[in-house]
Amino acid sequence: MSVLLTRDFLVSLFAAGVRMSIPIMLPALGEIYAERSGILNINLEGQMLMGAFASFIVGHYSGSVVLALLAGALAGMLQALLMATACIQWKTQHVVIGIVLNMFALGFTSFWYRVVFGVTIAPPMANVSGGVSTPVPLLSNIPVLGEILFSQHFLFYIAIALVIVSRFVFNRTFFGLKIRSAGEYPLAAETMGVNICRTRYLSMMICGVLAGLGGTFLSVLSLNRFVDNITASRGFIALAIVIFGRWKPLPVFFSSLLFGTMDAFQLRLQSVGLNVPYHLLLMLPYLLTVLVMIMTSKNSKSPAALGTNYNREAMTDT
Amino acid sequence: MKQFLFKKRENRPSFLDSVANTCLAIAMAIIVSIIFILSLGENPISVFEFIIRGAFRNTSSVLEILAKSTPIIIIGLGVSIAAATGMTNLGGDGQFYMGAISAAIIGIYLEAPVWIVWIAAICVSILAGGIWGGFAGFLRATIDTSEVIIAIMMNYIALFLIGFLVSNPLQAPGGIPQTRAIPQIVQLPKLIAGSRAHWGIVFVALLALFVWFVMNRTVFGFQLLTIGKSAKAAQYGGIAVKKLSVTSMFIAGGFAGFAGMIEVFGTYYRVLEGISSSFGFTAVMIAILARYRPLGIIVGSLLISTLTVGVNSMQIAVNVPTSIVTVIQSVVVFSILVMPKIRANFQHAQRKRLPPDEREES
Repeated sequence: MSVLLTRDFLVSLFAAGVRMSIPIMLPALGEIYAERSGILNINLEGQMLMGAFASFIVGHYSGSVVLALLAGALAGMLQALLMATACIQWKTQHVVIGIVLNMFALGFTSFWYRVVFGVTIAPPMANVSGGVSTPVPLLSNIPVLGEILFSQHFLFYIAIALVIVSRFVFNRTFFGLKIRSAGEYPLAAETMGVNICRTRYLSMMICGVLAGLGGTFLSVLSLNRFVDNITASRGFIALAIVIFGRWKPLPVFFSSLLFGTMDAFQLRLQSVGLNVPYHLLLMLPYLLTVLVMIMTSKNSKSPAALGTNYNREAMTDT
Repeated sequence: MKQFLFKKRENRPSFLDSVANTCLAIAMAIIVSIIFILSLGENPISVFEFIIRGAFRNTSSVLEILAKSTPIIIIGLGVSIAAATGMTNLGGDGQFYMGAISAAIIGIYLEAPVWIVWIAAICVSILAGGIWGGFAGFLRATIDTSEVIIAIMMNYIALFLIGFLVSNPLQAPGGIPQTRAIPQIVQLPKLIAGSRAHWGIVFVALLALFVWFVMNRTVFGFQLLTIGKSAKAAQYGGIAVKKLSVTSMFIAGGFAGFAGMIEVFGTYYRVLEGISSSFGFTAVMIAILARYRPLGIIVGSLLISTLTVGVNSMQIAVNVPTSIVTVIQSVVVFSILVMPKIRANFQHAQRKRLPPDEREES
């Protein structure tokens, strides 16, 4: 066991944990926007998948990390718009339509991957520059903390900035108030002049962009390739994290770090060669999700109008 | 309670409406698949021809369709029962795995007459799947967690648990991660020797009839449907809402577990990694498509299985990826869900265009 407690092991464990939390953190942050505005976006998984796929194609052919990120964000946003239209315009049940659209994203990406690349022996690589970490000049020289937090991938710094911005948006801006009111009591909000439909569309677009970026990190920046169902239900783990983090940016940020570290921990245990079957280690993140859901569900209160459809006509007709 | 027994459900779309919606949805799926096939540079008409020819090329391919649809129908019937109380059972795969492994353990280790082995395997698989599903339902009913997220996590836990079991304690000699085969005597007999279809499909028909009867002609089914319509009204009417919600998820899980037992005893005779190719998700999609009606679930599963068998055989001749089945399936279900609303919006817009005094009141 002593190998697990050395300084080097712990530092590399936590650094890897931070790195592995990025593809959960960004979608979870986006999901806060969607759920706070009242849409239960089960389709998060599909938006990540679309982002991962589009960015991989663009990254593979252009080699540019910026273009890949843009493509991932755009693809995630388009998928989110589809979900938003189905929920807002066509007033379908959020959970059901989300499941169907997840299936669509899975089929769509796996179909077009085979169309574009065919069946190959060596899987094609994304090959963009920018997969490596970018240390922050001064801060990365701090002994332990610098190695863990400030020698990360640049998307992590963006994520930190987004967490702070989101916190500000929700607590201090009119737009944040609009989103929250749309998710708590849409009828009252509309009476006060908030356009519920537009607010929900905008929230979903933000969510799609962030989910797409999460997917981009997985395929282009982290794995450097695309495989079928590359997200492996990280979208659903992100959904659980939003509940665990009580729909607030900062708690969601820290819970993502916790889950990322758990993921890194089980990978490290596999490589250290402890006598634990690796199947049981692979199970850990999912087990943790169930435990966390059991422990926190009772105390965290979801937005009151979450998962309901707002019917504008009903306001005047009845 | 008696006056409720034979009451027809109301607020259903008229027959003509649902036929129109279904046709439009199928048209949508055909259009999307034509676009996909064209962009591959293949001829859509010949691809469709290959699919239909491939699915019905001989007796064994038709029996293959039956074999493929068997587990999907069973899980789908369970999904429809959970859906009555407003639960979405996405945990079909995990429950299937748990049912399959526990049935396999009974089949391998229980030395008893065939009938006793079968009955024991059915009971144990229903119990294992039911506990797996009931757990998600229990958490939803008591502490209001999302049963969808829990069920998906439970799928992964079951997947890795099976992976562990078939590669460590239960592994058959030979190095492949799979269990030993169950003895030949307890395997379900085939419909026709040499094909993959077995007598499990007969169970399926009986089960669908049973589900239809329970949901439409018994107090229990009525209570479940009432919970789905309005949990508050059900509570007020003296229905044990929590208990019955958990029960409905337990039954859904039990069905999926039973499907696992049928697959092990009828098709594979052992458990291996990847024995379920996302049956659970397909079953949910088909149940939504069928609006949770047993006959619709059977028809839908047969259609999707036909498509799968056709596409699998077509792949040898034409290079169209099999994932087109997933695409077609999701486009059909998506269209079915949104089509009524789009048509209503369209009719609404048309009515608005008329001068006010000619607008019909509806």
